[in-house]
Amino acid sequence: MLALSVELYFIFSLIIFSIGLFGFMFRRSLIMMFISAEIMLMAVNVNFVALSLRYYDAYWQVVAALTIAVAAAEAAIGLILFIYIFKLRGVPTSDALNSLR
Amino acid sequence: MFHVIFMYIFGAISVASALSVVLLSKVVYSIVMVLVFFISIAAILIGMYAEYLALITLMVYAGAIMVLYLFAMIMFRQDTSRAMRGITSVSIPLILVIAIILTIIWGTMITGVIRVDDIDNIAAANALTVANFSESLFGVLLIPFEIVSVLLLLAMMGAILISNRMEKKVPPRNKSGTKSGAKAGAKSGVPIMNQTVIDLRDKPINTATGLGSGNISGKIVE
Amino acid sequence: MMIKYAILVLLFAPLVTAIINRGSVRVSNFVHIIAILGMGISFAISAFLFYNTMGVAGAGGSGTQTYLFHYYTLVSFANFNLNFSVYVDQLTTVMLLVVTFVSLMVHIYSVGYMSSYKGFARYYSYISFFTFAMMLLLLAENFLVLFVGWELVGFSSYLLIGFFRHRYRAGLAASKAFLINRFADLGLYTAIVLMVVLTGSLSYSDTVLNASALSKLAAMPFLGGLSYLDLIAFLILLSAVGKSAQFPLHTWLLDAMEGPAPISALIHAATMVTAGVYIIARSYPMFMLSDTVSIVIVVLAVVTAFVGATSALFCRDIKRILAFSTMSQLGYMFMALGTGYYSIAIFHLFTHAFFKALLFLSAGVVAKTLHDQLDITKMGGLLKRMPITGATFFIGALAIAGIPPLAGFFSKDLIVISLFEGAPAVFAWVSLFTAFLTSVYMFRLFFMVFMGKPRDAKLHSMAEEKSKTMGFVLIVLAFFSAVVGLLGYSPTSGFFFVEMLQNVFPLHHNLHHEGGSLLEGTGWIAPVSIAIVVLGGLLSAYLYRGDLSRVSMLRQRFSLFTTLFAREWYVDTLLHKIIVPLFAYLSLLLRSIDAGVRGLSIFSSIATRFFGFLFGSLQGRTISAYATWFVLGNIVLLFSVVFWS
Repeated sequence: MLALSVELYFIFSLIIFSIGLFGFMFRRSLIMMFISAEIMLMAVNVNFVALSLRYYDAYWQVVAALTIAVAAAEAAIGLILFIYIFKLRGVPTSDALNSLR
Repeated sequence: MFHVIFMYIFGAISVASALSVVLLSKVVYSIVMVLVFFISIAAILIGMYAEYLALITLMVYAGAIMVLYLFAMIMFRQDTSRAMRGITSVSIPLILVIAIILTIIWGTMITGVIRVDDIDNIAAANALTVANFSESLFGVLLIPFEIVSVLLLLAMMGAILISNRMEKKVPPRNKSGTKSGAKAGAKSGVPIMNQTVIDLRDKPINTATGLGSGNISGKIVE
Repeated sequence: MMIKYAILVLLFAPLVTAIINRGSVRVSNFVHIIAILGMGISFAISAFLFYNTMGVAGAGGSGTQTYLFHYYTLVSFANFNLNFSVYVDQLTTVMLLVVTFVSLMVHIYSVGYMSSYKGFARYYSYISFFTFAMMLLLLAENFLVLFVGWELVGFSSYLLIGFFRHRYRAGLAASKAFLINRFADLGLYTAIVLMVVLTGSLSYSDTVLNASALSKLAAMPFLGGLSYLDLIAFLILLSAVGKSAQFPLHTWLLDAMEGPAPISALIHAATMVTAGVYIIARSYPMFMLSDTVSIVIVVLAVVTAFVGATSALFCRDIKRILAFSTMSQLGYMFMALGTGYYSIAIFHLFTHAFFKALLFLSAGVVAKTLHDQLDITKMGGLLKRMPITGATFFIGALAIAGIPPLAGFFSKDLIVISLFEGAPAVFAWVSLFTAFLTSVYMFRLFFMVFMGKPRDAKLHSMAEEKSKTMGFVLIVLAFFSAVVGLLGYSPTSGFFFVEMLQNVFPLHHNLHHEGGSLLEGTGWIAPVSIAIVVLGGLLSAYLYRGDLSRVSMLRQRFSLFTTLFAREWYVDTLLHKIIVPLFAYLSLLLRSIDAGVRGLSIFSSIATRFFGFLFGSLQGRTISAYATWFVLGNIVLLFSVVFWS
């Protein structure tokens, strides 16, 4: 059958996802949080492709492609918001957004 | 055999680079490591019989999104490190190593070594082709495809709207003519493309006028 | 026949003196004489009763006597009777002896102690009234009279703790004691109601001492494998926990030290706090039949003893240390109650009364001459100036640590043996460790107060022994502390005291039962416990004799433990910061329901603020915090989905 069993791919995606998750939770800079979000999305893509490998169906690869598109949209908006926050608060960190004002 | 080694090596590289992204203190280093991460993930995707996706990843993620982040880094001077100041002396062995890695990835994809390697795995090879990909894309997942394209359009529009809000002074509603208004607007809202490098940190924007006005001029920044 | 009226005299003499002393101004110069006279009469009668119920003076066994006198019927209809009746058996007379003797000693002692305070007459009337209430509790034949006595004892404790009316803290401490006791009395009250409903009577002979009634109760299932017997036993235990200051309802005892020292000796060492032990001993068949509750008693008791001993290690107030010591020793008594050896518990109660009263009274002498300075870090070297006090205190310390042939050794030893026999071994080892700690903190107290160099010269110069009455009482009590142990065991008469009491508890484990004697195979415990205690004393001498440098080093290295002990396991903080506000909000809710709409709006504003604060503190303030909560919530969700299907 397949050279590497599919579970390995799931575990791999889990590892990458949790790395991204920890980066998101524990980094102060907003850019770092965005990048960690990208890592997480990438891990999810790998997960989807592993699913396509398991079911021998290209359907899941298409899903992965669509999530790439969504990630691109999110990156664009994120960057613009990053610039906005930087102008608003002067520092691009996550605790600059403590208050709603 | 080659397949397994290929996957393990690039798996290790991707985990290592992801860890470096999260753990390195300087943001620019993290961005560089993210690039490495994306390339190695692309390699893994090739090994998972998803070549099309690998290429899309490289083009979109590594090619577009990361470049955007690098531009954001440059403009906001998150940290000034030597990595930002143009090309310094590059070590030849480093270039060689990068070239070899890219050759391996590219070669694996082009020659389809992985597909041919697992002789038993004809099922995967036949099922996960670009033809089947497009069959799903324009078949079952047609509507999501359309919706995602609308989403991209919305993202573009949203980005433009927000950037409009950030203009320093709102160009006054001049009934006399739009030319003077255009001139006034051109002074305040700094279109990024007409200037080389802007360090917005040195000039804090006066929030009272720029942001609270809420007055969208309706002009698209050129 | 004479005995019937003698008991009435015994009971009401202190009440009469209380009324006289409180009511009439003309006797204000003689109050103490009247009170001591009344108390002396009661003591004489109780001693007479003691010899009477034991039969021949000497080894008990033959010729024992119990009395049941019915005086007055309050209510009688159908099968239900409520009478004022008196039941006197050996348990009653032993406790009466203790109560009247200690009360008499305190009456005599207070002549010297309270001479400088206003309210002399009020004081004597209060302690006489308290003794009356306690004897009412002990003489009761049914739970109604017991309950009346129980509540009256709590009330007089309130009066006595808050005796110094100008002191704000005394009033707070009195309220705290009264409220915690009242809360625990919920248990007794509910148990009484259940008993009336389920067995139709409140008399001892129809309820707790009645085999058929008990088996009927045991057959009624309550919930989860427990029967109504377990429920009633647990409720009685609850009230005993409150009255006898077991963990977690022990905090009132520590603050009760706001009252004058002699009442600490009387109430909170020898008498009132032993009412909890008494009620369980009196209802012993119920507890013997309920294994669950007995296990609960043992666990609570071991915890109490341990918490009390550890908290006393780092306390600075003389009386508070002694209060913890009381709590700890009460824990020992409850251990014996839990393992089913009720006579051993009463024996420990008996010996403990003597040396604890002694310790409190000598602490009182110190406190009085140093003008109410209770901080032991300011004392030192008082032995030279107060030899009698110091010597008697030392005897009391030896007794409580459990060094033979003084009193505490025999009773504590028997308790440890009973634990090894009747409970998992870990409890026995914890109790041995607690005995070690007892020795350490007791000798710490002695060394820091009486030995070494004086830490405050001005304070030291104030110390002197003036009062003859106080010294007399101390010497008497010291003598009895030393001698009473021999009542427990002597080579000639064996375990006289305990065996005598065993007649009271025919159903319970005897020291020599069919399976062999309790003492078989346990000979190693006595030398081990002596060694432990001596070790404790030596350690204490090493640490606390000179300056306290070695102690502070120890405190730094084990700061986790020492903080825990010094803050008394945070029970008080828990009580004041969580439980009291909880009850306050609950009462506010109930009040608002009472008061209608206006109350509801007030309550809703307070509740909103409360919950707003509560939930607001959970909110993160940064994006990362939100992300973290999000992740945690997702994990919980995932797990619940996975494990629920």
